[in-house]
Amino acid sequence: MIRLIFSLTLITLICGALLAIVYDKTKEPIQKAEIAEKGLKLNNVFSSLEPDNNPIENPYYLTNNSGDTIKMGYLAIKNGDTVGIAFEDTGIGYAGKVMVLTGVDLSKNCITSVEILSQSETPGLGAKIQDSLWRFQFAGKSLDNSTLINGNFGVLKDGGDIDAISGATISPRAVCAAVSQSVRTADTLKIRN
Amino acid sequence: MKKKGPFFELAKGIVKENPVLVLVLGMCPTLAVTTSAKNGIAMGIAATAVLIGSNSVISLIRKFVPDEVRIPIFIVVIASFVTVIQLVMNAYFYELFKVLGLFIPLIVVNCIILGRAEAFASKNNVFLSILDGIGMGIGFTLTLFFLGAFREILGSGTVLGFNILGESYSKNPMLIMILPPGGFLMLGLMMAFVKVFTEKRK
Repeated sequence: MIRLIFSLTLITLICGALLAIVYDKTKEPIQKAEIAEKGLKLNNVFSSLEPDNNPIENPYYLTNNSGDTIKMGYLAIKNGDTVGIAFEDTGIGYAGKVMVLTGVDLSKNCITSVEILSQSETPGLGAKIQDSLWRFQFAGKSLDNSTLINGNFGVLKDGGDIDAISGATISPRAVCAAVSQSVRTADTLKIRN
Repeated sequence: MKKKGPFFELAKGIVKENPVLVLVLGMCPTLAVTTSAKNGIAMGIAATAVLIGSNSVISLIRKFVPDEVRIPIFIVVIASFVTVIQLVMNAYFYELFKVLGLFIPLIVVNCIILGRAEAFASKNNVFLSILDGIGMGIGFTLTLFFLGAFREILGSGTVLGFNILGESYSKNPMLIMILPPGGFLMLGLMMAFVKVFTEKRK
């Protein structure tokens, strides 16, 4: 009996200690990898604007009347002027949240590019929203030059301008919703300026 | 049972005792991840790493582990291995982690790993257990690769992302093959094929 308790306790202790050490050692690299990943996507989103800053180091906080931060964006700065802003928004896809990063060109008032930050759509179907060829459709679009469905960008099937993916309509809808949200946020920003 | 050589322990996992097609273990990850050849390979390699690690540790501690509590001990060892691999992958192989992240926790419940710990590593020495782990891992990886490749060809017209059946096919493919029913269909066909192949050799 004692032997059973002793061996099980010893093994779990060793495993627990090992996990603690590995967790501690990898904590920092994991954080760095995640920030690097986001920075990379931000650079992709802004690449057409050729900003001379590192957008991840220039966050922008949108506050409400009582001063609470309600949204965080990232700024693209070129020659001292803010040329673009990117927001993260989520849409509800087929298998949960789809997080989308949308860059907006502030001078032309249109989308520069769209990146998917996280998604868990069906691999091979809805997950194709990550394909650059599909995402490229959003470049140059704005709320003024697109057919809107309930005030949002829409897929062809619903009467909008965005090509859906065969077999998956829900995931593109989620992306459209998220992108529209970000663009609207960027538009309200303009009015304030 | 006749004692078999080290080469047999390595080679048996590939066809003769293939973990998926013959032992029918680990169905959950097998069907869930094989929507493309790339996912299949990556899942196979991650599972192989855990299998080799858990097999060798369990074989090392087999004399110290009392029979009554061996299952919880095996599970603790396997779960720790999986978590370590997940953390290390997340930290140093972020690209791979993005593809596999969702599936790594599935390895803990992959019964191939507990199955090999129970059936092989707890009864054999470290060297043979590592060979068994490598063999089973190769068998698992190959099966997942072929299953993923066949489903990807029919379901999206591509292999490893390269278009091989032409634009017109990939515009309108057999979508069912990358949906769950296609996994069952293809796995059934592969099992039947291996069965015919091994029966004939007898």
